[in-house]
Amino acid sequence: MNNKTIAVLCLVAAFFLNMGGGGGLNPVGPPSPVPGSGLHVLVVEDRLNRRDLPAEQFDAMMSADVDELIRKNNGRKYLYDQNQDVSNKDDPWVKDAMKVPRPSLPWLVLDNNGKGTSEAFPKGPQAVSDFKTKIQQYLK
Amino acid sequence: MQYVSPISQQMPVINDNNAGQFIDPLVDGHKRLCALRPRDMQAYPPGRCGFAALRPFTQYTKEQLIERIKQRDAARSGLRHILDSKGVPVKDQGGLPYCWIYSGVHTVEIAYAVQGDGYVPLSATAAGALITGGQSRGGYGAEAIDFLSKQGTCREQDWPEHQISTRNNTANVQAMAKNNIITDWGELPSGNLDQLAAAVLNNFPVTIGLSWWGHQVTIIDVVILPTGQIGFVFNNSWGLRWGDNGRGVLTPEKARGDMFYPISVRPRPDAVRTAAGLYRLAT
Repeated sequence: MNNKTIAVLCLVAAFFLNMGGGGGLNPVGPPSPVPGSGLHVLVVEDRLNRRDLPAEQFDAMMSADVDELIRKNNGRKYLYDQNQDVSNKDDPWVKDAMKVPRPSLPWLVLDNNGKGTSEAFPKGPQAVSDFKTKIQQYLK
Repeated sequence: MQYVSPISQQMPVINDNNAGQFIDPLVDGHKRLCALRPRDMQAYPPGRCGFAALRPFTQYTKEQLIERIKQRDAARSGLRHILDSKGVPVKDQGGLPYCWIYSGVHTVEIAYAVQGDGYVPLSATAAGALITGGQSRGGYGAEAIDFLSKQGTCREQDWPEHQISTRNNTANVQAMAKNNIITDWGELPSGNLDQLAAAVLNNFPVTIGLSWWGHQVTIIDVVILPTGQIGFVFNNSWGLRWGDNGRGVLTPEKARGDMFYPISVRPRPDAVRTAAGLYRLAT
């Protein structure tokens, strides 16, 4: 087997590994706006207007089930106010994620090893399951 | 059929008929002191807050409240669910008359757990000793929340609980306290149960001073009792062996008092959560 054949086989193998969703190392999905290492979830809220959120959206933000899903995958979830000073944090991902533009609130920034999203936080009657599905999408 | 919240049968429900038996009990070998003192209204006048733009919470009608409680129980989105999921226990003031600061510090622990900065046991004794100058005396919620927003408090591992000597107040203790500090807080109108329910349903832990009990506890949930009454679930500071793992329920007639709640706490470095000796001090 010559070098050229080996290189082609490696490329094919790499392609199939990615297609197959090879665990947390190569998660499926678009590139993350804030690439980092491991699973990170940041929800940015207007804490003083928490009272005005639709109930389902509030429940999604606070869901212990979602928190447990994140922890089970060795991830971290932060729920910060839009004006929260994160200068004291030592995780650079959090500092970068707090700088992402937020056209509306609450806002979701999610990253799992370089794949992720920055988008409006799920709302509507299925907000809890939508949030869970969104996270699972990036765990594949 | 009316909805009843799924809470443990072991959880004591404190009402007008049985309240007397909860005053100054013996738990775990300690005479538990109810040490709430009257608030100094000149030093800490009502209505002060650590944030300028506070407005009252939107209140719920009874029907809305019941519906919301049902939704939260189903979604496991209340403070009680979050604390159980993250393993945040109640505090234990031992034989100290420090309920007023133990409850205040517990609201800080809860606020950190909810915003994702993890559960770190914080030293309420440190804050209490620094407020009182190392005295074993009672106090009230207003001085606790004010101190915690100005000085913060260190971890239990920096200043162990129940040791009130101010000789524990080292430079490390003072620096670490800045990592566990309230940045915004509010006060609810004293005795207003509608505002209390609304704040807790927004997942703000509320430290409340109950003059009938002479005691300060932390309200963490609103439930519907089998009687159809609304109940306020609280974390006491008498350890895990009191009540249901340290928790009880107040009926409305027993839940009126001065009330404060942290809105935000300063995000802290992950190193604060790690083992002793790994200090990452605030800049």
